[in-house]
Amino acid sequence: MVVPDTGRVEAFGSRLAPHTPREAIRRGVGMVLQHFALVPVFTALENIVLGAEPVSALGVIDLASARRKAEAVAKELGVDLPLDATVESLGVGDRQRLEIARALFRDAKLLILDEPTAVLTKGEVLALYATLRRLADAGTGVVVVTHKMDEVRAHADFVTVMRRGEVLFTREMDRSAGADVDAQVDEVTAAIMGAGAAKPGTRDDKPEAATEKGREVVLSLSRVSVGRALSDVSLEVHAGEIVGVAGVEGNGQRELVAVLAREVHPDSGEVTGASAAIIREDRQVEGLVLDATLRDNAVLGELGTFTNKVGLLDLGALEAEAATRIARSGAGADLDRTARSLSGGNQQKVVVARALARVGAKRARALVAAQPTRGVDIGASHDIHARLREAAAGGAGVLILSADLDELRALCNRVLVLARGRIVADLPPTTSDEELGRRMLGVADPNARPEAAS
Amino acid sequence: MKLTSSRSLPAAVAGLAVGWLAFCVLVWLYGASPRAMAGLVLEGTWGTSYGAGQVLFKATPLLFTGIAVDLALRAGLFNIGAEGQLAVGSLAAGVIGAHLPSGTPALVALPLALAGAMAAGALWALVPALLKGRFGAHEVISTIMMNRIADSAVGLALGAGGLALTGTVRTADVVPGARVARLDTWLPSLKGSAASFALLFGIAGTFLVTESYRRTRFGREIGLIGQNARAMAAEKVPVRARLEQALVVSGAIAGAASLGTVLGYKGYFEEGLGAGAGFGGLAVAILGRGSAVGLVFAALLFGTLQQGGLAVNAFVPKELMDVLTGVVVCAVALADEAIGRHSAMARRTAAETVVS
Repeated sequence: MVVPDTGRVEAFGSRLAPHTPREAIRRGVGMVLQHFALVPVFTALENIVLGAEPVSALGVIDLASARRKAEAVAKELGVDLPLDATVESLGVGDRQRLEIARALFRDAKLLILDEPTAVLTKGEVLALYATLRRLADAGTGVVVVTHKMDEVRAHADFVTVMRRGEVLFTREMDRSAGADVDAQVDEVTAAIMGAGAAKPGTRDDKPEAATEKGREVVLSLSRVSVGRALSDVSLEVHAGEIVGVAGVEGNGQRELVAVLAREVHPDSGEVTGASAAIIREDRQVEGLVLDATLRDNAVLGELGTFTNKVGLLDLGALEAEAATRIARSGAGADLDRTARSLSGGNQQKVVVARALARVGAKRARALVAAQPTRGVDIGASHDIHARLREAAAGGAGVLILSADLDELRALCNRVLVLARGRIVADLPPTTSDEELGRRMLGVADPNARPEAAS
Repeated sequence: MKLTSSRSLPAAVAGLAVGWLAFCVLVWLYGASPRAMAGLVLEGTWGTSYGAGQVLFKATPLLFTGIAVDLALRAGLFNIGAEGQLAVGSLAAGVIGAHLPSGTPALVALPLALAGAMAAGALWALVPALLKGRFGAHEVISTIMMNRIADSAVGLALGAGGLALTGTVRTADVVPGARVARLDTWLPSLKGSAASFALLFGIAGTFLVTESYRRTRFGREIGLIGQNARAMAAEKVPVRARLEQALVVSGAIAGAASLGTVLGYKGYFEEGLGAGAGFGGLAVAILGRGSAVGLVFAALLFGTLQQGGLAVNAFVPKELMDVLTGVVVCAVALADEAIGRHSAMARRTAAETVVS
């Protein structure tokens, strides 16, 4: 679905060309997406044959032969598929098995699953891996994309670690008797977290933690719950303090930002404090109007403050303010450029400058930054970090949500860990990568592990 | 569909080129000579001062509905309902104009009739606006439906509602004060043509509206919403309200097109007066795309085609010009899309060059 800019993709020893889903399926690559691609009103059988319908000579879909083949696939999978039930009546576990059956129906020899266990219960997870193991033993290649280390520990034969779009290494998991699987998993965890990348010196210019005590609380959540995404979250950010929220994506960050932006009303609990300036996670979707000029983007949503008594915009004042902000952002000086024409780093600088202008203008005493340097080059990243520190030094309370531990370590006075919608830890930034990583990935408390207890 | 004006000019040129080709092919299929027919079209429109006046007359309502559709389009909304909004607006203008005391001065009568027309158009657009804002109903469907309802409602109001003169489908004459003067009172050479000062109102309105895209909070915000509503919502701009307002303002402007038909031409409203101008506005907006000059040019172009159809009617059916209008709109939309894709690719290539 995405064509690479450079490089080549090979499937079973030869280049995948044309680079299309159809060709990949023809070559025997089966893909099970995190968000299922099933038609809810069709039956399980109809979904299985979708796009690969066996047709009789007259061009009519031959459901009888499809059923025979689907039943054979189900038998091979060792599962019982309710072929005549509509998909909307099936649970997620059944839907997942259906997706796998669909791939096998097309004679997939390589099965790729993206976060397959995200929505499954514990029992379903075990059943899924039992199925995958059977397939692997029968000669099918199985690739599972996951961030759950427990699953790696229990099931993987080989592990490939990817971090920031780069493959770090691929290693075999040694499961022979006497091999220390936990130690191997710890190494993998460390690699994911970017251990050893801690930059000495970056911590020195962090605001003094000691002076935060007794300062005013500018942002606070008290026992906030939102649906199944956030449960019982409490946190406080003081003026002049930078607080980090570490966590693997999809553990409630989105909802946390929405609550702080006052866009989602919590089911229970309380949000207090100043309204916060927000740096959104996805600058291209929520942060900027890409086809609009930098002028418009610099003051996005603030046109009301530039409207004069007769209802016209004060274009001079708007121009001056936009120019000041863009100049301060360091993203160039041409206000007529569209945001789209900027690099990711410069786009983010514009977003950051806008948010900081609001903090500076005393309209907001708090700043919430979600993934402030994601997909941003190192130079821009340093720049943005410096700005965030300045905001805190200027008396704002700053909350940073990030999946990048190096970033949190470099900026924060303390780091909260968000896992499965809960704040599971409040740690100093000096906490080891292994420790943070374990908390983020929801691995059991190390103290409960036998070797730590001994 | 992106509505930035930067690439609309090449798209418009490409659209016109395709339109010319289609004209040649169609005329040739009818066994006539494209060159001769084009000559007739030119002669019947811009060739005589009467013809030119008739073009201006036909372009007037198109200009109003063109701005109406353009404003909605800016917010990312397709107002297919200008037709119905104009119909109820025209009825309102006719009825109000006819019921004023006969001695009402123009300074009172004309604004009142115009305000009535705009209010009626706005009200007609309010229904799809609320359906969109509150329930997410797609405005294309609901505005089309409102057109059908307007058709019947206007007929009913005229007949059963007793707004028409007995035995006719027209209102009584509007009072002299509510009439818009003919242009030939000022430019005698246009004598006989139905062009009125409504055209000048339309041109002024076009510049006013396009200027508001830049100079007012509302105009600027709907443009940004049209490009990325999610970012605007994240910045706490009341997106839903702005969309509703855009559609209602669009309806009001469509209603104002009755200046050129009811108040500037007939002097009364009759069933079917101004029909087709609402859909013509779609063509004008798509070709003119957010620029005042572009919109005026597009209205004149389609006005020329309409008038030109009459000039060649003896040789080829005048409906050929409607086909041509459709071809030009489709071609512009296509060209716009193609150019957009091309420049997106160019951007990506440029971005890669910067990175590497």
